[in-house]
Amino acid sequence: MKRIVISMLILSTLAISTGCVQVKPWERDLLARRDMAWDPDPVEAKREAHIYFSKESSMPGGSGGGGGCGCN
Amino acid sequence: MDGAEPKGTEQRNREADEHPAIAFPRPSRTLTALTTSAIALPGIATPASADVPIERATGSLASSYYFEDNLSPGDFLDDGVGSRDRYEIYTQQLRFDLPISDRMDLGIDLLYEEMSGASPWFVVAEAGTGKPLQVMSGATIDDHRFDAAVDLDFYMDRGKDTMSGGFSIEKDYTSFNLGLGAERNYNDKNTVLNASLGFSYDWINPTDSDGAPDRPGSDQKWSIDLFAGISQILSRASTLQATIKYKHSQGFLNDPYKLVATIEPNEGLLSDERPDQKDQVSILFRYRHHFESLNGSAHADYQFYADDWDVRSHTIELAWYQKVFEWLTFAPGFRWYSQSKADFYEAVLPGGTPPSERSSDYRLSPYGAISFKGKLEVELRDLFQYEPPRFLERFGITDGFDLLAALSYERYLSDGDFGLTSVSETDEAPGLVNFHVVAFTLSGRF
Repeated sequence: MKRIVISMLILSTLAISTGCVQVKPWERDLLARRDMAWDPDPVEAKREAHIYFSKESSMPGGSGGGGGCGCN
Repeated sequence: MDGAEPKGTEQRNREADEHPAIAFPRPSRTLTALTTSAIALPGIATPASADVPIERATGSLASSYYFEDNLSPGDFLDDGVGSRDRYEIYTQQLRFDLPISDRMDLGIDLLYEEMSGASPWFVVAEAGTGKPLQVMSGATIDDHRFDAAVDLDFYMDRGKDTMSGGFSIEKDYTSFNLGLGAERNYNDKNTVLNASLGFSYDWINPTDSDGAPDRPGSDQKWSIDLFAGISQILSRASTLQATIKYKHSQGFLNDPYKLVATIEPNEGLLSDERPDQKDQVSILFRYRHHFESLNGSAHADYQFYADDWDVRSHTIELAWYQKVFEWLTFAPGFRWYSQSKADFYEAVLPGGTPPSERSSDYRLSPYGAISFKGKLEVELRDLFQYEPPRFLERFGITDGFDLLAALSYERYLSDGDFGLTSVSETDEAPGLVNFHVVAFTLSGRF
């Protein structure tokens, strides 16, 4: 299990850091689009994460720590 | 995207240059010019590279209605007390993002929800067939929850640091949390590294503590979580993010309102007993790609989760954002989820000495879930012009108003057959839930 996690991390770091073009600041117009954000609607993302956290057994993977609730 | 600063700002910056004594604490003109041309106007939501201070105040208001399907009669054991009418939740959310200075932003998140309905209580085996049937609680009167969170971002040349804190309060549960985070960018902001540390302390005060065996009057739990992530721009039109989160929880982790039954009708009902600690890991990959010729963007997320209660889960989320007109976006989405069971989960316990750890909570059972989602967004820029008083300009309230209105819907279905591996009839929880969510959001950039 640990081996799977470590190798996934190494693979993704390698995939990300090698062979990537350097996109200049003036070329980032498309990346600035709202629909290209990690969470175009952070309020909805928070609500959805809370619903899935209450009804399923997993932990939302995003950075938002947040606190607990009586919901699960 | 016009990328030009609103007229008012130009005017004000010119005036500030002429009268330095009344200059506002705003980012330098050069910094503003570089960042606005590079990133066009920052989105009302968090942009992909949220490492520049926001310039304009934004506020969002959201209202949602969550309602579960009634428990099907075939899965229900009517004991005269329980109700098949499951949960419904009305949620109101408010969020503000305000620039405090040229290097500091403040975010405030408020949530209020009202909950009512019946919940799964315990599971019994149907006489003769042995099929698990769900016994429900009675439908509850309204419960309320209030949640507030604040985050402060401090910006510097290479990134930002964040401090956050919040609390959640309801009748039988109180939680406090604190967090620290750091973000640093490299390779001319093509690469962003993120790390954070969080801590939470919860008090559980179950109502009616005499109402069930071993239900505590009051108990606590705490947790710490560590997060690390890397985001990388892959091309002009695509980005990839990989993150890992680890959480350790300790204390009272049982559900005080649930019970466990055994196959022997003479044996009484037992309390839900779970380990007093839990270690969890989530690994999340997110990919975004814009297709210029189609004027649409694709979202693909995959999460792997594992914990030391033996639950493993996979989540895949896909969405497509299609611009229909400049002001109208339609975004359909799909989610698939699959989890394995906790090692102490049993729908109904066999007879004999009960295990020290036991639960028939459907949320610890093996199953899969699929969601169909749809969202419609209307975006109107520079809706109207106004002259805000000077003291409000300090908080990023300028002279134009952009509005985003969105309507979304989700249909969630769960079943033993939707998971990665097949689930036996004795293992499949009769209380698996299906629900709808309808939500309306209004966001404004001032």
